[in-house]
Amino acid sequence: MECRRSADRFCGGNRLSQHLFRPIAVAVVFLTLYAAVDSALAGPDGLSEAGVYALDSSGLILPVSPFPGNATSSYSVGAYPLAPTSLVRGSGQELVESYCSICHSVTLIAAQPHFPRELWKKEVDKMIHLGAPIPAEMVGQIVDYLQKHYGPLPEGNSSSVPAPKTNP
Amino acid sequence: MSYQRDPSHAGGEPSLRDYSRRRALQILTGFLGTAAIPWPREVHAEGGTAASGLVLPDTHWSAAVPTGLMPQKLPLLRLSDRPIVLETPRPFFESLLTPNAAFFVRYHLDVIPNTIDLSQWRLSVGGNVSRPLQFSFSQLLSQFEPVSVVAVNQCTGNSRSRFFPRLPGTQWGNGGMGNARWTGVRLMDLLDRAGLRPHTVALRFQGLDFGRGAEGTPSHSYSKSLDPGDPILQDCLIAYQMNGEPLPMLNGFPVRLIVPGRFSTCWIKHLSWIEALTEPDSSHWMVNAYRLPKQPHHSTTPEEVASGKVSTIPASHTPMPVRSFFVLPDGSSKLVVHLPTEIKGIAFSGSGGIRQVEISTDGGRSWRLARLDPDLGPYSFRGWRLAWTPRQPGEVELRCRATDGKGNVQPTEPIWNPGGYAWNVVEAQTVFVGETA
Repeated sequence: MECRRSADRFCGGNRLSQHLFRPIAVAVVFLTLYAAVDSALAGPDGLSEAGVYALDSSGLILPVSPFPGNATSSYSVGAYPLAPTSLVRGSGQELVESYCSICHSVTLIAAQPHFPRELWKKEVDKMIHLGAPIPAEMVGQIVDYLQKHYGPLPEGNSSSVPAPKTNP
Repeated sequence: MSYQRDPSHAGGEPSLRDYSRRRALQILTGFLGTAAIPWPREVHAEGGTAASGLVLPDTHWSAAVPTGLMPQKLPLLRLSDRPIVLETPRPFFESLLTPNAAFFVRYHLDVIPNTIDLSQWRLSVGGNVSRPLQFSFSQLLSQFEPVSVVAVNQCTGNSRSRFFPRLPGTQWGNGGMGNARWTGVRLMDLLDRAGLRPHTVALRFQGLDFGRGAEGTPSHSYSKSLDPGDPILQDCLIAYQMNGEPLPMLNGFPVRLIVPGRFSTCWIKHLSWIEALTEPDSSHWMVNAYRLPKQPHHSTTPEEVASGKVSTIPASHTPMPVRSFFVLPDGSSKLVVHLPTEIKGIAFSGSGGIRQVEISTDGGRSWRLARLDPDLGPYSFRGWRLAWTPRQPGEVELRCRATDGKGNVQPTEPIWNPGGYAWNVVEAQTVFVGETA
């Protein structure tokens, strides 16, 4: 039973997206990532286009869904808008951007709580288990970066960094 | 565990106030210049990283997360743009059926369908069956009796931002859930036609969404399995309609597996392959991810986990625990002393619906029964309401506590597990009552 279809044909756009993941300030930049295959070449599973995103720093692309304009058996929603935010500048940033953004937006990193080093290390190991092609010698640099910029906030800022307590 | 805990947590009722202020600032500063976000005066002084005076009416509903537009969707709380993760804002829960355009979205992998050709699309039933079959969309419509169920779809990690110590993953508020009337064909009708053969130990479901990881890695594909002896299979649907409309693409067009009463981890979107397995499903998504401690309230401690003594079960194999929520008042504006108002909310459970909902208007010292709204079925949100006239001005802590059809009651004490799953602790809502003179 053919239950696992190769996603290779959808991967073209990703190499492009890595270069475009830089923060783009105010202007709305609209760029379709050509991750699609032609609709006429729908696979036996009926999937004509997948993983098509459009870069949009404002999140305000309109219309996000095109008017159908036809009555064929093809159902489309257009590109999914991306709203990238930048990672903190620092040593290791490009490494994190290039490896982590293969599978997910790096916005996810900044959205996490301020984890200590051991938890960031565990996350990176988890991503490698999931399939992230991070070479072993890069792991240290990536974890260093995450700890430095997304780790616990500096001591002395007591309102933001409560002292560790035991579980009630 | 050495990482951060909330200082206001000691009282037993979890609070995210500090985290949310910080997060609000991160997000607001990140989006400065890209949108006309109102900029409360207190926020300015703090320079973007420290705690501020920004007070949010309720931190449990991701009030500080920016909204984003996605195809077929109203502006929803955008927790991730790739893969797409959208949270439903609180006001939409005033409706017992969550509108399709406001229904939450959660993908694990980012190669999400943009275009599907229904003339080519097929739903396959294969593996250890007597008759491997493929169904077109029109065959599903014409050859099977349509069946409907109203059921809550809730992410296993809904409310993850409430856990202490904090946990990695999508930092959901309470809006990783929705309730809809799902219409489609019975899963069992399809399986009966195909004929499950003996020695089937798992039924694996997979959809059209994929990831960019190498083939064979968990980041390449997402699939989930159910036990062929699980009684829930009798209630499962393959839905082609959601609230009487085609499914939005991001909610699983053209068909989605509906597993009423269970977490959405097994509600496979764009369902295209059903496979009867003769070996247990050993994929990452069954064996490593979405595991719940086999303990009361699925709760454990970091120390217990470190000791290696916690046994777990797949989240897809157990009913969702009972929960209840305040919808109104939401704390965003003051109530007026002596002016009658109505406290309204929702409740649900994967175990026999809702038996009762109790409300406290004094921080949990005394409780009154809420009136339950008409029943849309055991898997649906159950609306509830209680008339209330605040008798004196000041700060009031409301609490709601539901009991389900099997007698399970929501816990008062925080729970914890390493996945940040199955949060169902009693909700609190702070409201301010203003004077009239």
